[in-house]
Amino acid sequence: MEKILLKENNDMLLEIKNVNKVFRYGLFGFTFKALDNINLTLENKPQICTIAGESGSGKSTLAKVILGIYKPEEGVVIYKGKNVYQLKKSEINWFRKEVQAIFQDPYATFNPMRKVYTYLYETAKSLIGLRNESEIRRQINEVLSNVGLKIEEIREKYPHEFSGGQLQRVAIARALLTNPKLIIADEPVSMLDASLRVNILNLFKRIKEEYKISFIYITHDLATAYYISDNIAILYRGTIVEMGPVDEILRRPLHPYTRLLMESTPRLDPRLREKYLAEIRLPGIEEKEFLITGCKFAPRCQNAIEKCWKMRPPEIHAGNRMVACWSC
Amino acid sequence: MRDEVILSIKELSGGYLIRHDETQKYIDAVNNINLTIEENQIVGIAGESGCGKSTLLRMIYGYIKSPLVISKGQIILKKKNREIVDLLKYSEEKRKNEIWWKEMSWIPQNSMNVLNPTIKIKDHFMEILKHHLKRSGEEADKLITEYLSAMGLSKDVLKAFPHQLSGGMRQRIVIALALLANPQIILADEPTTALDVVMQRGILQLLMEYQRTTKNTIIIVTHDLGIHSMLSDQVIIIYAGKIVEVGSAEVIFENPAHPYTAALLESLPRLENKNLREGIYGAPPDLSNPPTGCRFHPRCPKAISICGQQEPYQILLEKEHSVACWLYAER
Repeated sequence: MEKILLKENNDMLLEIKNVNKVFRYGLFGFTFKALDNINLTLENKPQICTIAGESGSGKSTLAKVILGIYKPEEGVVIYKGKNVYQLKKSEINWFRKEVQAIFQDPYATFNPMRKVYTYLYETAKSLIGLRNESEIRRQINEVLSNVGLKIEEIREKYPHEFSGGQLQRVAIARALLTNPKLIIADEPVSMLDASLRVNILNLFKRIKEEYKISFIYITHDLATAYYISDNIAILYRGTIVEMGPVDEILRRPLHPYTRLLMESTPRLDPRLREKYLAEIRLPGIEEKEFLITGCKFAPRCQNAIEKCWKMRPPEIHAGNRMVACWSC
Repeated sequence: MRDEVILSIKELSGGYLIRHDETQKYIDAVNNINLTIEENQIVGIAGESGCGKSTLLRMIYGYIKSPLVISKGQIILKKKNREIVDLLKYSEEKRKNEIWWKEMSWIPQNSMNVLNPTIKIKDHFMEILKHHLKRSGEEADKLITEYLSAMGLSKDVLKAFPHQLSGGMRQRIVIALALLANPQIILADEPTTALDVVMQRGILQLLMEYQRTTKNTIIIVTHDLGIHSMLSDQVIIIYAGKIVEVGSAEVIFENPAHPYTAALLESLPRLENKNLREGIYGAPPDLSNPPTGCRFHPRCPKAISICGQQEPYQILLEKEHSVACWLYAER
């Protein structure tokens, strides 16, 4: 039994099992489930897995749960066989090096009063524990060249002296410095100019191939998700409604919500106007949807039947894809 | 039958004059813009951040506040009563009384946050009705209900304070307010950018439906080319304060002429295929010191020697498709 368990652990980079995260607010302790029974696993081979959803879907909450910032009320997050919320003191530093994060707004990531170089320097010194100055310089130079920057270009500069794209590159270089195995990137390109966005996405692809690093790419944008990811999970109001290889999910979406999202993504081809302009139902009051016991998409779903409102839809697995729907 | 021209912009230039201690800096945000806009159109203005598209919209509306200055040009408007006026000759007071809300309305960026948090939604409507339309009582109520339902909202929202509504609802209220006085031109600056795609689609549908019934003109500014592709009749591409290309949505998306338009479209990932995409080399120029000649030439893969020396002029390629690029000049 133990042997089997050990083998499983080696095959899996990340396992998220039955995770629930509840937020409380207001005087009377109104609660809602930001994450409702999330199950997601990443095999231990380099891949880019997208978590896609609209605002309020819980995608950033999920990122923070994986990073060890928000402890879930129920369920476990297991990284390389170790429970992220029960790490020993000696393992915490290891986990921080293994799992790195990149956020949406690079200007908010860096303190405006400090030169960005100090972040690279301090990461090298404290997290990796390098003491030798020339070694620190060598390693910083290496990660910077990976993202297309030179140490001289950034050495004396403050965050506001960089463009958004450049600063995001510095953030990626900083993340690479610890030699991570997993990078959580939360909307990393949504604030960048369109013509520069794809450069960062290409960089992720290259880092995956060359350094065998996996990514969890969190986004609301299906077009960029389709472009870079291997797998995708579609999140709606705290639940995963559909999941699997991106080519299957976005080529042949089954869940009505995935289909709605795809149809609502503006296309670059005016011939597709008619479908985009076909009338839709606008979403109603959000809090109510969080409290529904059945499928959370039921109020907006055109195929909803009575069962959808009352009972949680089953997770139907077929091949390597999953869909949670009563009518699919 | 051709639709009539209702707005024509002639040699419009302006930018931001920033004084800092002894020195002063001029950011050349909008440079020598020529444009004609017809009635009954959805016109899309596209470009990346900092290209001057929002500044242009603000100048058309005539909301000129320091450090923004207009250095030259004309903005000719044909008013509802067919009178033809140059808006830049108007004082701000006159623009406020005669043009704003009634002839032209402006939905600024992040406008779902412009609602006054201390007053109810109904009072926002009443303020405009009283001051700009001189209407009150039952007539006003009827008008409010009509515009709310056009935006897919129920009367209940009137009793709410802005913070009690979601972003999508607030955005629809701001749009309803802008439409209330039935202006013939609506200037919308990134009206759906902060919203989710489904809400965005719903609001754009409502806007389109409104435009098709009233036959007025909407000028929509957004960096999101997908929106222009789904909505605009005419698309204007701006780069570094200059119009580089104008054409119908079909022409711009299927047959772009300017190397910038083509490269920008090529850089965008699409749901239709997984083709390898590449960003445009370099970064947009600093507009306090723009490049000579064509402003795109330092990044242009097709630049020839003249591009760095002389500014290209607008060349008409075919009916309603023009491009400012030396590659198309007869030599």
